[in-house]
Amino acid sequence: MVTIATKDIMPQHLSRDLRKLHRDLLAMSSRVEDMIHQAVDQLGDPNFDQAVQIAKLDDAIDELDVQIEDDCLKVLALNQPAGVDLRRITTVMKISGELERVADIAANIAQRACGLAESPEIPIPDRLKEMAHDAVDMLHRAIDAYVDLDPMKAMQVCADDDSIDDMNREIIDQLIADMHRTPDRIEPLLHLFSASRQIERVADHATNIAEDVVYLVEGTIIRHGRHFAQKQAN
Amino acid sequence: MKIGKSRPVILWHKHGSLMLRDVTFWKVFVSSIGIAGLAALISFQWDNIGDSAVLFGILLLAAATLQSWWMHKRMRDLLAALRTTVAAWDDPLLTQPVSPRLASEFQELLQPLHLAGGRLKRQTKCVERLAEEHAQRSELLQAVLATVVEGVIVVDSDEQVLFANETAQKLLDVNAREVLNRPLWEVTRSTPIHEAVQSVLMSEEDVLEEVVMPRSKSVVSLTVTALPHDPVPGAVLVLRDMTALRKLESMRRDFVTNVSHELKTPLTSIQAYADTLLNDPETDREQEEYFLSRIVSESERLHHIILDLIRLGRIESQADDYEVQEVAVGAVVSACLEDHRAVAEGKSIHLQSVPSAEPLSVLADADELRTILDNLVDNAIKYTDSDGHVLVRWQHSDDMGIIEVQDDGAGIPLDRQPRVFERFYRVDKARDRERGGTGLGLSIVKHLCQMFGGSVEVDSEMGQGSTFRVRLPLAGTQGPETASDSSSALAEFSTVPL
Repeated sequence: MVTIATKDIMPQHLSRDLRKLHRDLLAMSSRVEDMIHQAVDQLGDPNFDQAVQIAKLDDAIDELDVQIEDDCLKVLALNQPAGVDLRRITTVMKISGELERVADIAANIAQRACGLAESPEIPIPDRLKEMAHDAVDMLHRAIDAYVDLDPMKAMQVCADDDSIDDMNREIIDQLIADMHRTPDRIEPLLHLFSASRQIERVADHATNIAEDVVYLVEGTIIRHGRHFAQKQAN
Repeated sequence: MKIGKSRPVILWHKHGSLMLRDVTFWKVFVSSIGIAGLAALISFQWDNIGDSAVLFGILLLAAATLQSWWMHKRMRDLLAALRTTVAAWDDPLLTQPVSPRLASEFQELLQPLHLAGGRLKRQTKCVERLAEEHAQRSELLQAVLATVVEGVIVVDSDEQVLFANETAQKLLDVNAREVLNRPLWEVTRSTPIHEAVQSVLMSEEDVLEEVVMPRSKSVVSLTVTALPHDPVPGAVLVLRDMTALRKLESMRRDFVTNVSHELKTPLTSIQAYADTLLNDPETDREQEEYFLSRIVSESERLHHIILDLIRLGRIESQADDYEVQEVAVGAVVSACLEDHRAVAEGKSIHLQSVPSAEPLSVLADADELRTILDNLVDNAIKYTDSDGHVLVRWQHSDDMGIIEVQDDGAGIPLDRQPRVFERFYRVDKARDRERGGTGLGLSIVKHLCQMFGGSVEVDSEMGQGSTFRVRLPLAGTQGPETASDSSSALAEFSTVPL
């Protein structure tokens, strides 16, 4: 852990501030993970009360996000850190932003699940549940990579994003086919469509977090790397 | 060894020889010259002796020089020997005895030194033994804590993990590379657990709660206790896996709810129809007949449920004797399909069978095998829309006979598949009841299969249909000991409430 490794040479208050930031971010991550799990579980077993509860939790996460950003800016202004400390603070800021968006998605998925509950004749496709499970697992592993400062773990998360994209495409194709077949069921199918898109975005945010981890450890920005490489090749 | 720097000590040996410990060569040399000078002075006074006295003086001087050199050398050797001897006490491997010469010279110094050395040696041994005992004890503790069913984690006042056994790491879904000496909130990211630990470290009051792990969905009972002392040096977390127990409890709850619902629904209908008939004397004949026929059909439904419940109870308690024998699967399947053909045709469902390449015989009770097939085929027809297909096929596989009932109906969601064999479990609560059935059919199938030493499983994909696969021991490969097998299979299910 960086904060511990450099404890002896960095000013004590900076070390203390960094530790607090680290702790707050992990507390936020565990709450967001809980939320997204609850939201995804709703797909199989929708519950209006819980959907409202998730929306409430989202507000608390927004507050946490603002507080963490505030703290980060304070540490930056007061200590003007350099090197790994600077990278750590910027990473914390970015990860907290990603987590805040995941919390929004959780609230959204819970709403979709409740919308679906109104038309019980539409079963949730197993593939969608599988994708939700994989996406939430990616988020967990991305945060594991941050805790362990493990770029290999982070790279694996980035690599797994492709399979989620494929699944999403597959599910959406299937849903569009269903819509053509049964136009009277468009509304619940649209809920499913939206849920699938949202879950795909959870995986995207997990990938962003993993990329931030690679930046934190190695100092290189790998975001859009493939995109740039393709452009150069062309 | 600061002997050389201390003040000169003169030791009188018991033999009377003078030993100077701190006298250097030069001091001896000067004193010798003094003696020689004194001797020369005396010799000069003795004038008559003359030159021979000078010679005597020179000889004396030479003798003194020799004497002091010899004393210095002896002194140096003795000190070196003393140093080696004392140094040897430090090292338990070098048990050098004190040489007799050294002993005679340094007796009084050596004695207390020797005593101190001995004491030191004993104390070192004692410390070593204690350390070894301590290591053994801590190893034992580690082993005990590692093997206990409960997960145990110890944190210090700063929430750094001091100890965490394997069970705890598994229960809390810990993937971190390192666990020891890391903050607990880094090792496991669970909000309720951190809140519990913080509250214990602050208030010193124990916390007991149940936490559902979001990923594994396992239920963990958590007890956090403060370590005794003031200020609190840390806390101990004890974790117990309650998943199986909670699942069993929820099954029992579901069963009670479901059984009351299943029994209440027909009863309510019967009561309503009977009330209408009683209170409304002007009901016409046609309506009366309709109401009465509903009363009959609802009571039949009730009767079926109760019969199935009794049957399930009897299978579980092994109250009935089954005639386990060779049963030709082909014959039973044809009889079953023949009975269901009318219903299937009514729904325009194609009912087909695919026999195995060679005749298949399994070990089972013929009547009960028929019950198994009846239930599966009945379900398949019920859950398949018109123009669908229901296929029964059977074949060999190693030492088991496999009978499959396949349909192309709605299918069962993956997460509900393991539950369809539970009593009264309905995949779709509202619609499944409309389709009729007692909700106990698959439960009976499962128990009967286990009774005959076999099993049943489901394979299903949404929109594609379901396949129920029954495995029963082949006739001829396994003796009649299946009865005892079934009792062990049943033991596993005796905890499930009826």
